[in-house]
Amino acid sequence: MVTPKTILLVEDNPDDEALTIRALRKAHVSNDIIVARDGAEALDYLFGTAAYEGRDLSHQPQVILLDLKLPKIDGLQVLEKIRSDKRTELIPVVILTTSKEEKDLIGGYSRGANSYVAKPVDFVEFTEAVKSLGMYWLLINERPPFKRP
Amino acid sequence: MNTDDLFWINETAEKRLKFLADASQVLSSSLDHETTLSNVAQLSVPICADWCAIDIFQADGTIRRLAVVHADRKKTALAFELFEKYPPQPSDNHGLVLVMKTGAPQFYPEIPDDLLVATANDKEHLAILQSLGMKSAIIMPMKVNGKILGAITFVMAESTRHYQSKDLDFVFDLASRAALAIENSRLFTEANDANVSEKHAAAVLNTLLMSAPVAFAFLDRNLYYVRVNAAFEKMTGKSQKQFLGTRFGEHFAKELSRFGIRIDDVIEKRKPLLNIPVHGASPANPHDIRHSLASYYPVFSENEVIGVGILIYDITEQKQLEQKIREQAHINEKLHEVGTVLTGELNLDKIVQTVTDVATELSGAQFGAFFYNVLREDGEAYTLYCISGVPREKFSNFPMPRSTNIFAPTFKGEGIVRLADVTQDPRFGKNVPYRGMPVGHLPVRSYLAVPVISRTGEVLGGLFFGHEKAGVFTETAEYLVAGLAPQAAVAIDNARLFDAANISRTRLQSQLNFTDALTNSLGEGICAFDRSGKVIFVNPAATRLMGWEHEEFIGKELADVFNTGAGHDPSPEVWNAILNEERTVEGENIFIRKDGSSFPVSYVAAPFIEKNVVQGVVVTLRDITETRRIQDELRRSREELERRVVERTVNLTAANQELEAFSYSVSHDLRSPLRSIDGFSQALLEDYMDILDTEGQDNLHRIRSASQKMGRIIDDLLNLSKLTRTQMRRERVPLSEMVHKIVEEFKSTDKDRHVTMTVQDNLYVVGDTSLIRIAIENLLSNAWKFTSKKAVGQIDFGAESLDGETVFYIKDNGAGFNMEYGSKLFGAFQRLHQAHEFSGTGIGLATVRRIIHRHGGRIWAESQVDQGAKFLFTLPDFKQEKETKW
Repeated sequence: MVTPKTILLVEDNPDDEALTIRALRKAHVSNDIIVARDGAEALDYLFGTAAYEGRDLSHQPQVILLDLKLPKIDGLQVLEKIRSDKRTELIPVVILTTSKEEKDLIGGYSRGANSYVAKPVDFVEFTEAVKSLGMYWLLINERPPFKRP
Repeated sequence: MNTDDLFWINETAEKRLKFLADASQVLSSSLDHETTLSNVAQLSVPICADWCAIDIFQADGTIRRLAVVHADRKKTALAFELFEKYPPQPSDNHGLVLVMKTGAPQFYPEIPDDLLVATANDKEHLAILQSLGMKSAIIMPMKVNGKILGAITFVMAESTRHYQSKDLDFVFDLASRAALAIENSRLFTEANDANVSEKHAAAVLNTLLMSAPVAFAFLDRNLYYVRVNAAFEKMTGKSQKQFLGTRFGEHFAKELSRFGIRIDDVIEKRKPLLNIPVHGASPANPHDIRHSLASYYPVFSENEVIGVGILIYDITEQKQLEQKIREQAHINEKLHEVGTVLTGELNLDKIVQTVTDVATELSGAQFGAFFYNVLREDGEAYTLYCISGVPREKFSNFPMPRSTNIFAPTFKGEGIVRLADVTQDPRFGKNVPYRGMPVGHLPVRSYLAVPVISRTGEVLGGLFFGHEKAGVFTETAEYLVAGLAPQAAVAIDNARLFDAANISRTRLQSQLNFTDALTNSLGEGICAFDRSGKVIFVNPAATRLMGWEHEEFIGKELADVFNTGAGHDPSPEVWNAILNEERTVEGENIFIRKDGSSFPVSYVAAPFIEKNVVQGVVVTLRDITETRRIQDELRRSREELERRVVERTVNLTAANQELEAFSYSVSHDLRSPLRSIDGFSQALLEDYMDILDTEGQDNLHRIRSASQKMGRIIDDLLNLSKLTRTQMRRERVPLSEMVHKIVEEFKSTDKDRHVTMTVQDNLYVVGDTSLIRIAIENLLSNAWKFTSKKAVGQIDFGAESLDGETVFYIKDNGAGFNMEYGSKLFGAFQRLHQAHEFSGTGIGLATVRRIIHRHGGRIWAESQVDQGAKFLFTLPDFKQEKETKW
């Protein structure tokens, strides 16, 4: 059975959420998009806790699009948790954020982000970026073999 | 009695005359000379003497003591006793007997013990003499017409006064008057004796008067001359005939008024006028001034004044003798003085000056000079001179006298030269260049030159004396100077020996003097201790520092002086280390002064070593109160500065963190809504295209364009703030190459533009490559932008030297700007062009300026509207030769 390739979008800003999903759809990405609106929710989803209690953890996202500035637990902390857990450590994480700050870039890559994309203001450019992102991570990139817990 | 009265000898002539007048009064009060002389003796003590004796020389050769007066009656008795017990012996060759024999006064300015020893008959006599405590004495003969009648003795004892030669004059006057009193009394007695028989008496009188060597004249009641004797004729130079029948006043009117002789009084008051000193030119020789004593007696007959007897004693010879004696005494005194000075003096300069001064004075010279040879330290002889009587300047322009015919006998030591008039001497004026005296030389006619010859026969120098008048130097003067010369020679010999012995000592002394002056003038205190820790030397600075007097400082113990309290150096261990290990110890400490106040010192304690043994310790002290104060002040201000820096750093760090947080939040929060605006506008355009009319679509485009622009502004602002925060690197930046690359990029993205670019090659600066690139990019981008309306743009990059500084420039031929607004050029969000003309966020030049400033450079611009713009900036120069450093 082919595991459906889902995308975990961690985004607190509903506008950005809508625009990102719009851009993905525009780029003809039809995969399921799970949205977590803060860091804690993202981790709950990934580790099957709280609202996601009992979720089948063998089904993990194809790629995680992670914003950095998040309520409760921020993006970099979420990334740290992902990379430090055997169950999630290999999941590709793309940081999709407004910040172009050097410290965020370094903070992201040093914690094991696979990619870092700064969201441009220009929506056309944004769409282009998300399009190539989806293309790459969903179609071109071979995701690592799923590890059973 | 106060001391002023004691020193009568120094009193004015007026007071002396007063005394003499009083004495004369006493002497003329009676013809009983024994009483009057005793009274004079009484009068003299204590004004003129501590005791006074009057002795009469009798015809049989014995001496009769007429009177002795002493302030202390016991001593008076002692003096009588002494005289009776030890009467003067005819064999004596001193004192009264000598006066009796010679008629010359005896003058003892000093009465040394050996004089008493010489005159005493035995030990007892000596003891009595010594008990009298005599200090000085004058024995003056009482003489009339060469006949010695006795002597007046004045002695100074208890009052410790001393007679001087000038006192002789006065005592002589007194003695003369006393002698006259005795003589008058004798004449009167003889006249009285002759009264026995009138006739006999007249004969005696006649013989006596006419043959007497004393000038005598008799006037009648009406003052007409009745008789004059031969002596009177001789004295006045007039014969008896000329006098007889003339009145007294006709002859000597001038003299009478000059000497205040009121002869009428003699008749009216019936009192004699006695011993009036008169003088006048001798009739035989107008240059011979004769001195006399005139007495005027009333002549009584039957208790009626029948006339006036005049007796005039010529005392010129006595006066002259006295003058001579006085001179001799003066000379003796001077010689004695010189002798004292010379024997006690080893200073050559002082010796020669004294000799010259005394010799000049005694010889009667106007001026004197002593040319003498001295040995220098290196052993070479040279001639010095000293001058007396005139200022040294009178001679300082003349060369040393040479061994000419005049001078040679003196310099060769051949003998004394005494000339009444040197200009008349055949040897005079024979030598070039002066042929006589040099121009400006003091005039010399009287000349006296005496060689000064040492005991070894060496000529030490010569004494020269001069006077502008001829014939001044007498035999006495020659004799005197001749006597002085050997004395001077001995003194000079001694001084020379002393000097020679002293030369090495002088060198040592000068070394010591130098050290002395050094330690005295040093601001640092120096204090030396002996091995036991006692102070043996301190300099003035040390006494000042510690507050001890020099005297109390010396001998103090180490612990007393360096009262440094417990546990301080110099401790005994340190002290021993200095003494035994010859260590030098330096340190700082608090010292306590005599008055208990304290002060910080820095000290150096070092051993002082003599003959390889540590003799003690020398401690050098410096008061470092001021140094400390300055140090404290410095430390305080440094701490204050550090505190401020820390404070500032904390503030800055906080501000930086705030700014960072702000920037971060801006980059997220400000941009997100923009993205929403842009995104949803696009969504509208895409999804509702068919229901939006052209205007609606245009509005949405405008919304998008505005939000995108704001996005760029935010990006630029963030970049600008980043510039100030990022760490700068310093590296070699190839500026020319960078410009080339950037322009190539512009050209490749904007292929339609025609821009001519000139770039000066091989320009380098030092700085942060990425920052400088941003700056250059901005400037070039401006140039590129503002030349966009030109058919052919022209951009130049290069460097020029301005006041020795390298200034880079980027110049274009674009739109330019109005210099009036130039000040706004480099501020953030300042734009000088409207947006429809040239696009831009207004941050670019602010960014450029910040980068240039961070590098320590300056930037400015020159422009005119439509004439292009020139941006000039400086950056740390990169010099080829410094390359290795970077």
